[in-house]
Amino acid sequence: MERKKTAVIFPAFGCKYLGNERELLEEMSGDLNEFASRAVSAVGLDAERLFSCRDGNFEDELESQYAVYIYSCAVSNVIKRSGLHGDFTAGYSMGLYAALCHAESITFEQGLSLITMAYRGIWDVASSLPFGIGVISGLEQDEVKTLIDGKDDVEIINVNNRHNLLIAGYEKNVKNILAGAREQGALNCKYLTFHSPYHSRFMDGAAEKFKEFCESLTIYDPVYPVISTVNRRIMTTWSDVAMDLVDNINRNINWLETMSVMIDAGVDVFVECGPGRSLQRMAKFIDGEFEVFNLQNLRLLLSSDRICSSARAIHY
Amino acid sequence: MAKIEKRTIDEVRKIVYEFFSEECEVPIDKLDDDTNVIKDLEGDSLMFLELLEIFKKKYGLNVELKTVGKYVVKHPAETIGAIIRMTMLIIEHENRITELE
Repeated sequence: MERKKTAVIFPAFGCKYLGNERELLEEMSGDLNEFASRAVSAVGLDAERLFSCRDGNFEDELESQYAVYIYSCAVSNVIKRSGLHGDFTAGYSMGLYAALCHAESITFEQGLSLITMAYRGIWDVASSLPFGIGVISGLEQDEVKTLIDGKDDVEIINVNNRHNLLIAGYEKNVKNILAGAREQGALNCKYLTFHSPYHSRFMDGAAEKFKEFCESLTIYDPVYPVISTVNRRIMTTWSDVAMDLVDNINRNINWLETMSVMIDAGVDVFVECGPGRSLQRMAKFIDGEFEVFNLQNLRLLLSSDRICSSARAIHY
Repeated sequence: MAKIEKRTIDEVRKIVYEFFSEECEVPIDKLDDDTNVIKDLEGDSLMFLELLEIFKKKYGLNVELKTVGKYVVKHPAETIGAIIRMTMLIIEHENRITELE
């Protein structure tokens, strides 16, 4: 049988949980509890709150980031133990940390530290100014670019797929662009509840501080190629990874192009490692012949002939 | 302008109900025309976009997303029944939907 390629992808915080993630993972392995316990020791995570928040709507943004990272790393361990390693990996926004942990470029604890430092650095810059983020659905990227044209303080920070993108900048300007997009016929324009303008030049100061922290870490060459969401290069060395960690703070990302690079390279199965199924939903508007599996249907994938793995490692 | 047959109306209803049942993981017999997609099913605009793409492909519709967007601003469709009615208008009028009052 022709061997197609598989990619392992990681969502960011803010994704909607389906509510049964904990049960599904606990049926498959003890990884979730082990990682939660390690996060309690490393960053003082409240494990009870982690497990009681079933919909993913954590009040605290940093806690929300830890949670998605812990669930993501647990799913990553499950699929690795099953023999599925993936030809590529990529992380959506802060999903980068779990992707790097999956690729064994950083340790689980380093990932937690990176999340903490990035969050604090971004908060220091963003909390003092009225920033905002908005999502626009139903307009093409070029149409939004035209709306933004000439306005220096708003950027397209991420293109999710051909119908959906994110903008960030000063609150007032973001809201003006959203109103303009609505007039142009966007099906949905929403001002988001989190206000830090991630992946934008407004985070230059945060990126500088974060770079210093990254330089203090031992980062390893990834064992699987990692695709950069910043410039879509295939990262195979620790220095590529170190650069991308910093770029991920203050440079625009593009998930549509990241997925397209992997699809063009022959990937026809994506495994979304994390809670919910946000990346699977985004992928519905990305062109190509592929399927996206997630925690909900992971057993189906591992027991199918879509991939070559030793699924017996999971207790059925 | 396409003439809408009863068969098409039934087909659209079936597709819309099956779509929301599957996407929102709700048994089809728990849905009715008054079910609010946003409030009751926690649906979102991506679902509507997906549904629109299904119908564009199925019926070969010549309709731009932003044309539908402009119509939706004036005529929000939040319930399953409203979405079915709007879909019928899109099939019937395609890009001329914005000319409707």
